[in-house]
Amino acid sequence: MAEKKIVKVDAPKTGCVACMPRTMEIPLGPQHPALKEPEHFLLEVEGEVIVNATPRIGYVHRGIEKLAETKTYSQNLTLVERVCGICSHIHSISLVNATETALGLEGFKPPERAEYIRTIVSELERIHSHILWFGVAAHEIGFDTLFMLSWRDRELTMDILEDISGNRVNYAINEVGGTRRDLSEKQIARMNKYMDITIKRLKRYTEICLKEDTIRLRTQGIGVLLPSTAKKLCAVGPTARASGLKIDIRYDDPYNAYAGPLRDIFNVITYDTNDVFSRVVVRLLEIIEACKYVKWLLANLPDGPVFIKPPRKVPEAHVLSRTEAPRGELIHYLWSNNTNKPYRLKITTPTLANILSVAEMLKGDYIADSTITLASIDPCFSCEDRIITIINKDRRKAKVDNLTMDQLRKYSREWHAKNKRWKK
Amino acid sequence: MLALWAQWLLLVLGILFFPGIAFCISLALFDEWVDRKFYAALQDRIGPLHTGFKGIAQPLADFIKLLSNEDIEPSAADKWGMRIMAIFGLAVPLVLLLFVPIINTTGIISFEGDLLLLSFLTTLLALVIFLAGWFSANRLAMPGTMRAASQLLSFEIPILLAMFSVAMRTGELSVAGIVNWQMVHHRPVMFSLPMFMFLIIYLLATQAELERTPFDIPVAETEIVGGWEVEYSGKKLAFFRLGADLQMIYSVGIATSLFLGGPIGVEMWIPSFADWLASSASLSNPNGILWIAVIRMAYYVLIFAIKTTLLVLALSTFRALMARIRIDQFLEFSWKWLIPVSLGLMIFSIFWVPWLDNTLWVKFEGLFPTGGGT
Amino acid sequence: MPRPGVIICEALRNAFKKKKATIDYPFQEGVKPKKGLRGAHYFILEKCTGCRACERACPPMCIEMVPSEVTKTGKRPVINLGECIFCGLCEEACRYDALFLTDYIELSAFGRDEMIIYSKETKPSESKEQQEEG
Repeated sequence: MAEKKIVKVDAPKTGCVACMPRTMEIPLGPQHPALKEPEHFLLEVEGEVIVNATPRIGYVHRGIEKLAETKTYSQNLTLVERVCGICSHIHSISLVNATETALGLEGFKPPERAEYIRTIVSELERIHSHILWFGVAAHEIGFDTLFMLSWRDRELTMDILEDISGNRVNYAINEVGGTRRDLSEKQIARMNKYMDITIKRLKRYTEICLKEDTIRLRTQGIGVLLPSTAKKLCAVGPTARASGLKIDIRYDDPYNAYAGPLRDIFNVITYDTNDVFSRVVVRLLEIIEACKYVKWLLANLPDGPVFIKPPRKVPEAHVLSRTEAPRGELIHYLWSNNTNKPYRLKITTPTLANILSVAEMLKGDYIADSTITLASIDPCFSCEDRIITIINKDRRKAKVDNLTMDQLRKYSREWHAKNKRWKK
Repeated sequence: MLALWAQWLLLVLGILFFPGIAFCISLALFDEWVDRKFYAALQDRIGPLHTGFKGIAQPLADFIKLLSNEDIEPSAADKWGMRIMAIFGLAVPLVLLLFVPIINTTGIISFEGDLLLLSFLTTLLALVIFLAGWFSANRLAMPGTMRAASQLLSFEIPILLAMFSVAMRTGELSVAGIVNWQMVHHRPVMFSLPMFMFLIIYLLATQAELERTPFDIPVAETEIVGGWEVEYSGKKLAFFRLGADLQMIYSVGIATSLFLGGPIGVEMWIPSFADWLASSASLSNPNGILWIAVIRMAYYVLIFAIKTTLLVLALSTFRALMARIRIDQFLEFSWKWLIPVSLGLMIFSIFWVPWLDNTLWVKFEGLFPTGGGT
Repeated sequence: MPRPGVIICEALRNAFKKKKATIDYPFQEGVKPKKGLRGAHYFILEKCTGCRACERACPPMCIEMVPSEVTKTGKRPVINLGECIFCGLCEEACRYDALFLTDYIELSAFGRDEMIIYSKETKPSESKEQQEEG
């Protein structure tokens, strides 16, 4: 068939056809129209079936963790929002939760209304992130009408976010000790109205996805990740939930308003077909659930202040803060040292946890399906790249490792000793 | 009779301007605008807006912009092959369009058996696409080329079956003959159940031939980065884009001629109007009156444009409804469903046509003033 | 019952709808909230005391203090919109209401010099954003 000829194109020039190795290597990325961010996957192909996939990460390392050490906590909230463009607020929540936990050693507690507002914004962000993913996935399989229509309905959520925070993407609504903006009655009425429309539209899209034959043809039975494999490879978020695992930080380790009475109506969405179709359905149902949570939170919004002035210095502590980003579990590890700046901040994004699952999913797929399989974890490669070093320069066996602080210092000293002409 | 040199002059002018190259290109650009506008409207968008009336000049502007772009040729590619294929990609649809009856019941070129030549030339067009991908020597163009080749095998057969079952139905082997048959019998070929099904099959296969969603497998952008046309830029890409538009006009034009009566409109059922139009059947007829000839031409062009545009609208609606299917699913669809169904229909139409079609038609013939039957 | 083309009714309804979802933005007015938008800064030199609170609060360090003859401490802020992230922390840090964000968001410029907001003290010609605010 079509892709069979790739084998001949990519064949090494040594040797005849008969003694060719059975598997061929096809690169996917770093530049590819299906990938919105640079990432490299080396696909080993037998005929047109992928037998192995090796990811290589680390193309967009930006040094955010190091930069965070030079800024105050309040400034860092706007910095960590820039880790990811889509799920920006959840990073901010993660850091502010970590900071407030450390401040809690001195008896500080943020106001309840602020926690509710944070949760509302994070759920709105989940809605717009999932609809964005849905549109991108529709575009990957060539269904542009669904792409356009779903992004039209995403605008409602974006308008709400612009209204309540002032920005469309990086909301900057959190502050250590509360939120920077309050919700007015008018905004609450508008949000309720828009959430009703969004629920109606999303029910229609779920219906379309369940009924449309070509979507089922392109998504069912590909990118299979069995529950046991998902557990073994530590898949998180909708990727794990689509494999039938009931993992959700909002329910398992609740934070902010999830720890309150919202937990009683909380519903962890799972679906059990383990393929790309399952991930589509899980995300669509999650949007409907998120709309319901927003409506519930608005109805039960407590009164009171939204901001309490926190102490200037954060006591020494090691805090691990887990939150559920739209893509899965997000971890912020904060090491404070009794100043107004963090001593060390470590961020682990959900895509890093899911990247091994993708390599597993790609095995056994056709090449034509590799892009939708890759898109099905909602990849955000730019977020995941932290401090790395490439151990092996051979592309085939590329291996990436994290460095510890002391190793990094040593590396820095050695590097500067070697490159003396390099100036800051 | 006009003098020989005048006939030659008319022919050359015809090929170059009016029903020929210039007119076809304008019609193709217009239909691309209709396609884009309607596709955008289906998706709740506006589409092109600021070039001319509601963006009507946008396809032309895109073409000129592409012509002015830098033309990049990869060093590993067969450069002359790429250039020649780009020219072929524009020239072959233009040649094909000369056979389509637009201002007359016959095309500019018309002879007995031109349906056979058309079927060969359509295949040549697919071969051009195959070679264009092959010469560009790109790793992503190769799968596109192979997909285009395997898709060619699958969609050519239903197209040919549809074309020749119309020939069987009418007993004519030329496009002009089929159009005249519809004129004489006072009904389009489409008004018969198997032929109507063949029209749908033809349009489905046309969608695959034009490489539009859901059959845009050879040029899938998100999978293989534009497929066979990945290495084409500037003038060559402009030629291919214009060629694709012309091919769309040709495909729906042939569908119009074979199934919908070509440029013939209401005069099929109003004999006095038909006689009045026929009183100046050609410019070379000394008895004909010139202004009737001009009206006749304008009328036929209008009817043709309306019919083709309606078919283009149907194609663009179809484009908006589905996700792209995989190449193996397309081949399965084609070989397991489309081709057996067309073959069965062909056999079915042989028995259907002489008996039921006429019997059914007699019941409806009173609806039309001519009362014509076979 | 799965079938192809489920979306057809919706698509055709869209096609014959009078008003489309697209807004033809620069020619038509875009949607933006009435208040609370974070756009370009508006700086009132008369109220400024040059206390450097905005400079300390700014996360990307886009506010620079330059010498001034008007303010109390002899310094005044100059904001580089090319580096600004529009977080609004400077607005909250300012105790004298001398600096706040407006809803002016059409900020494209032809050069880096045009992105810097000077006050009227020295170079009135270059304070393009302020003039347009009126």
